[in-house]
Amino acid sequence: MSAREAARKAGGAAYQGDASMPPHVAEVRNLAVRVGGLDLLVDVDLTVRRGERVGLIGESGSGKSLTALSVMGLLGEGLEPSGQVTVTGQDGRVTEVVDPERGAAAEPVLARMRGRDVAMIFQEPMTALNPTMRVGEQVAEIMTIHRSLPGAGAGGFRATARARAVELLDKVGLPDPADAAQAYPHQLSGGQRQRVVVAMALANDPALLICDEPTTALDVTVQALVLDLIVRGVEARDAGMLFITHDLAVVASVCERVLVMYGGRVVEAGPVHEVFTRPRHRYTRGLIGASDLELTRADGRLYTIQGSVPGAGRFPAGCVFRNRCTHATTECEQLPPWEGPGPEQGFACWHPVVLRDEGGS
Amino acid sequence: MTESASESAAERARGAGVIAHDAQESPGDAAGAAGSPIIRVRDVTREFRRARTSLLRPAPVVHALRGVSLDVLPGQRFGIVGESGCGKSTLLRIVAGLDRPTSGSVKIEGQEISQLPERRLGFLRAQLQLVFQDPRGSLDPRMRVREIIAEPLVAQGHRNRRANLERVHELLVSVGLQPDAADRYPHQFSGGQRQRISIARALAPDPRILVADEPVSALDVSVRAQVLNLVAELVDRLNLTLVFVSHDLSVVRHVCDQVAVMSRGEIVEQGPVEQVYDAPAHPYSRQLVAAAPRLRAALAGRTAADLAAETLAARKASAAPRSSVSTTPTSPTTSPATPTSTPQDLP
Repeated sequence: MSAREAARKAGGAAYQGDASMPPHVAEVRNLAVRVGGLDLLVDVDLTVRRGERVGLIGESGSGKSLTALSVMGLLGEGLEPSGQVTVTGQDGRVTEVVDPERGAAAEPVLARMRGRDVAMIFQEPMTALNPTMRVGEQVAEIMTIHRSLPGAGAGGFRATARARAVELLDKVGLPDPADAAQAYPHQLSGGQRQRVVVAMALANDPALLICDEPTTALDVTVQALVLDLIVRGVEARDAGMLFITHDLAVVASVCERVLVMYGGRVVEAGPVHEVFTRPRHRYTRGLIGASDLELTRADGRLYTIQGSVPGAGRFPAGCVFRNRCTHATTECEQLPPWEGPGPEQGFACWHPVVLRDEGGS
Repeated sequence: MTESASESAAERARGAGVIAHDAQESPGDAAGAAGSPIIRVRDVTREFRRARTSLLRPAPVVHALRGVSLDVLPGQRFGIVGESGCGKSTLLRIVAGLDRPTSGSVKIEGQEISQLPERRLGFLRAQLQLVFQDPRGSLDPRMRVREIIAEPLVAQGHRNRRANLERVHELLVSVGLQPDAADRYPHQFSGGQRQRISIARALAPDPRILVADEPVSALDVSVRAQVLNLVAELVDRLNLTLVFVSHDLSVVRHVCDQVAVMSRGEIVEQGPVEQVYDAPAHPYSRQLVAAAPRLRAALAGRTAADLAAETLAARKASAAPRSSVSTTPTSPTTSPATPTSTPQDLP
């Protein structure tokens, strides 16, 4: 804990003072989420800067989505966040989503932030859209709620928002956007629905776009196009992006930096290329091995991680991965310290993969 | 191949006690076992009628399958790849005798099944078993694991409880679970373990053919590798013929040796999996290969924009020569007809 704290402070001081770095759009420090005495997230550190694309990977139950929901201030009833989560909007407006002293911010504060400073794209577009509302209306609603259209007269606000919605639908590649705006979600295909969700998310030019498995429900050819659309939308706005997925290939195609989560903790972080080509944490190593279908053992079988992800609260004390790790020793009963220059790069493992041909087994 | 053929004959002999039917057939069959297809699908079409929209016009028809032909040889690992709505699940249901084709023929081990009434499909249920995508939906939550796994045995007329329980324990061990799992309920297991239970159930009647419909799509990455290994191991050990349906070409590439690519109710390309993956001939297969993100390529600098550009380029190419669908070089009617044991050799 103290080592991580020290690393955080040292790293924090280094990049906070550096004027050449773009400003933060989201900063998460020491975030924990508890529910009824059960720790779901522990000591999560995460920074997204303007124009930066950060990936969050791990298996289901590792805490990825919970981290994203904490940033959005969308935690369900009974979930108590602690630590610090700060979001900075396009015009420098700061929202303390989770305050170290006061806890979670009040709903009206969060409502002002959501959809304007931060937007989120969920996995399943059908449940993200209102089935009883025309999609054009839904896109326009985001703008009318936040009154975010400059230059629109008081009377013509709705009309302006509607026109802008059609424009946005055109930009996300819906054929015949004026007609598409009149359609209900069920009249569109899965890929088209997700395009509508992307249009909604980008409508107010958010400073941070959070994507939670945005293409998992889509066909692979549609996925390629939607990923491209999201990346282009984020780049055009110089926004930051937090991209959650279990698909390592997708994260490597989309992000620059990546955090690996397991058991509610960040176990490794760093630039995508570094983490994927020279993983240090045993879990990261196992995850990469298991998802690489081109790499097989001598007997032609895939590399695996033994066992399966435990349920919430059933992770072992100390290193969360030790009950599935082939390298675990008694030392692993203690929490491994964070090794690395700062929270943005490093790992927490007692027996890390030794770099250069050593890490064979 | 000869070894596997003799083993599969032995395998069948074990199953022969179960169905008299099979015993009659096996002598004639054993001779050409390596060459003759175990699954033979010819010109199968399936049409579904939508709800009527008008009293005056007939109900619109959806052509789910438009003339599908394929052959699966004994011992082959046959992959079917396609995106949602391409008809792969409809095809699978027809092959498994769960649905009937509108026209065309389906022969399993030389026996026509498309016209048989349900009560005469017993032999098929013993020979061909299914594993579904969602292990939560395909296991009855109110049955204990031993009842789930023994159900196909009971359905086949094996009423000896003790013998069944022994078989259940044996099956649980073979899929990597503890025998005491038999007394628990499905909800007490993780997704990967549940999929192992589904596999154990499928293996219970000692089938020759295992049909898996997206068996790993609902699983986590680390568990996916375990289940894929298990399937490969069981197919090897029990000499099964595998039909593996997936939307993910890279999974099929790892598991299968032969693949059929489906699009809009048709098989647009068929051949050895390496060939289809490395040098896809049909524009649609090219699109499928181009669109799939791959870790190595991504680390070498292939971005989302590249993926999209390649997909669109392939799509454009597929839009132009529509006629190429019918002139696919690996027409299913020609390739498996070769009498050798390696029908994968293509021109």
